Amino acid sequence: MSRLVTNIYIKDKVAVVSAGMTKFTRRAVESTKELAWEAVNRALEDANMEIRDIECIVSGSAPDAFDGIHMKGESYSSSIGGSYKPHVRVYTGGGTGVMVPVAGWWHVASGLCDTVLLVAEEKMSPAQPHPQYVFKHIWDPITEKPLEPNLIWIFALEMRRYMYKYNVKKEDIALVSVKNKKNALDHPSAQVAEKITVEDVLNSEVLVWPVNRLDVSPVSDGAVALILAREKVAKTITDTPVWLEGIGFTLEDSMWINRELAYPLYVEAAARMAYKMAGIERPWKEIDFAEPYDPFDYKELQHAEALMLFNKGEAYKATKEGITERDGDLPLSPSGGLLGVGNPIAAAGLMKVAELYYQLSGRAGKRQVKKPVHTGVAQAWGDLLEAGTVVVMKN
Amino acid sequence: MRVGIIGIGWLGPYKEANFHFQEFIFKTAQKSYESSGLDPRKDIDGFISCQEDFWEGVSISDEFAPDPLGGARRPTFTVAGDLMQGLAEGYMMIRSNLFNAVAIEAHSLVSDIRSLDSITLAAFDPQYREIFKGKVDALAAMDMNRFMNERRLSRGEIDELLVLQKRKGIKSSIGIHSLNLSKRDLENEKYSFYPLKEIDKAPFSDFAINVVLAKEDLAKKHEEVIWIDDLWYTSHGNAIDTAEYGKAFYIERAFKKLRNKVKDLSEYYIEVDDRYSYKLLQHLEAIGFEPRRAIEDIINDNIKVNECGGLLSSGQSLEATSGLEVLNAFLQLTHKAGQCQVKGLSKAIVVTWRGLPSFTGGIILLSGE
Repeated sequence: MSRLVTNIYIKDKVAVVSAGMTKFTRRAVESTKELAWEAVNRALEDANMEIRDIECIVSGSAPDAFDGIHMKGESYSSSIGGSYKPHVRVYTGGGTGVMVPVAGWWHVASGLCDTVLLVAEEKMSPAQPHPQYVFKHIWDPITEKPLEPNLIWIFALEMRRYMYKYNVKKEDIALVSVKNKKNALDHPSAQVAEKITVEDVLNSEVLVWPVNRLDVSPVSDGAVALILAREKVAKTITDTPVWLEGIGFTLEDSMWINRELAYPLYVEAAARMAYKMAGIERPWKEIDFAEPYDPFDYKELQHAEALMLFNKGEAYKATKEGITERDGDLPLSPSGGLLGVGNPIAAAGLMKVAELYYQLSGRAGKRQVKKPVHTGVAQAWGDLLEAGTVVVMKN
Repeated sequence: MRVGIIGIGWLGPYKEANFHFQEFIFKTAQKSYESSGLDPRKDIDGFISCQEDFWEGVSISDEFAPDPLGGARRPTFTVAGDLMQGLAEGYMMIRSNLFNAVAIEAHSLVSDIRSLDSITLAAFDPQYREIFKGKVDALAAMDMNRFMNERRLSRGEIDELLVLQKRKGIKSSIGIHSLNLSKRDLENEKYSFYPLKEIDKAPFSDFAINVVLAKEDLAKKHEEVIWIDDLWYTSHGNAIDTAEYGKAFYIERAFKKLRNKVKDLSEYYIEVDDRYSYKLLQHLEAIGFEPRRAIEDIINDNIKVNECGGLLSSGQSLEATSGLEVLNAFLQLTHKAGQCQVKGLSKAIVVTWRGLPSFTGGIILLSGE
């Protein structure tokens, strides 16, 4: 029977039934294919399934230039069990990791696939001399590329604008890095988990002011896999399915310089779509915890505001007051986020969705949020300060 | 719930288009939206671009998808694949009740690419790149050789079909690579890798296409609707080391899924990927035709296949190649195929492939009212 989910009727709910991931690391010895397979294998084992039980595959990986492989999705297809199955690679830059479950949702909800394997992988380390060089080629070829902009420089512009508009101090932003790196100490896949202080962040190397090295997530290699199933199938796989209740995605135009950099309106638009679908009207009250995208510390604050969990420019206050700690009223990035677990771009986004699954199925171990949790939101961001991807999950 | 094609816009194919890529996508989208009667800022809920970074010469090429599509601050994303895969995503988005209407675009500005062979080579697994450096088509030649050998097909039979297809394109408005050939002309054609001749390969074309899909109740309000009855595709990635040669196994698998939907193939107009001449037969075989019998049936006009000359006449267009096939089928079903129009058929089967070194291919079943 069809069921009304706010604005749409679906035949079956879509469940996450398992997750698996590799360790995130700076220079993995495993190839891209091996990393992806390792994550897939763990997700299959977690669900006690075999690859033949999977009907469709949705994958994500950011620029092909990291690996130097054209049609990257085709290159790892057979290593993730994609042979003889429909396999699509979706792409929204840094937002890809959360776009993967978004697309996975309609593979199931359309009735075309009973089970869908989601895979996000990234191996940044093959890019020489540094993965940042790949970002030299992301700009508009006519209007921007001749200026030879640097990605960190753009983030510095955005961070400065955020600080200026909302009168946020750098030491308040640094608290996010301190919190997330500490949270990551409990994550088995973490790359840069550590106990640091605000002073450590402020005294770390200045990359482009106001961005210091410890404001930034690391370069990483890694892969994450999840398995989706339609309601009836999910109940045969696990007793603790977690429901994918809302999806949202939005891309702004590519003219990033034309918009207010202090507030990512495109993330808010994606969140509104996901909340509407999940029947959430007051996210600040109804969301129990969140995994906002945190490639830089200020971005966790900015994204938490765009997810409407805090008023504009006020997320730092909640961080200062401990509200966003794992034992706080509204935990943010209990996984440790990209700042602590690492940032293999597409895989980092799906890691955040995996954390929703672990938390909502009560399997997060030492990372388990103290208060009872029933609803979580994960979000990723990407492209030329333009992509927002959001999922809402409930148990 | 049925999903219908209610708008289609295209530019090209051209041997060399004089457009910036955004202008190319924009002008195509305008035509498509106009034909759908929908306002992209109000009525179209989602936008999909089908593209690959290296073809575009831009890292994270999806950044530039929203602007020319009308998808800015709207649900827009990129499929790193071909139009067929994008259509599949749009089809599922509508079938899931998420959206009422979705626009899907793919484009090829292949004439802008200076190092096409090197980019194609970069799609091979690195350990096989040295072998195929400068000779990517050798893989097609090996596949062709095995196919011809196992089916006892002669080069002359392939030539006969090639001549026919190249001539058919002369009647088509998009047959820019059509030729008035004779079998004798082919005798002197150079082999690139035996048994593959240079002329067996469809030349490249610049081409852009935009397709608007809508859910049933919205589509029914539209004067001209072509329904997507079903679709499926399969992939074996670029795994050239474990692929099955001599047959289009990716299409066989896809067709197996849809077999019970296709009662009688004679009721269908057929459009198959023929970017290498032998693929026409190989893809037909994968949907149930015996190759030698298929040659006779095509020559005797018993089956209606690639009546506007297929890709051999229109050219191949990177991720928009399957768009050329969808366009041909759409034009047939809407009776707008001009001089290559077939009469009396209201259903079409479109067989797509992403091209080497990919083993991703699919089938789309279409019908008119």
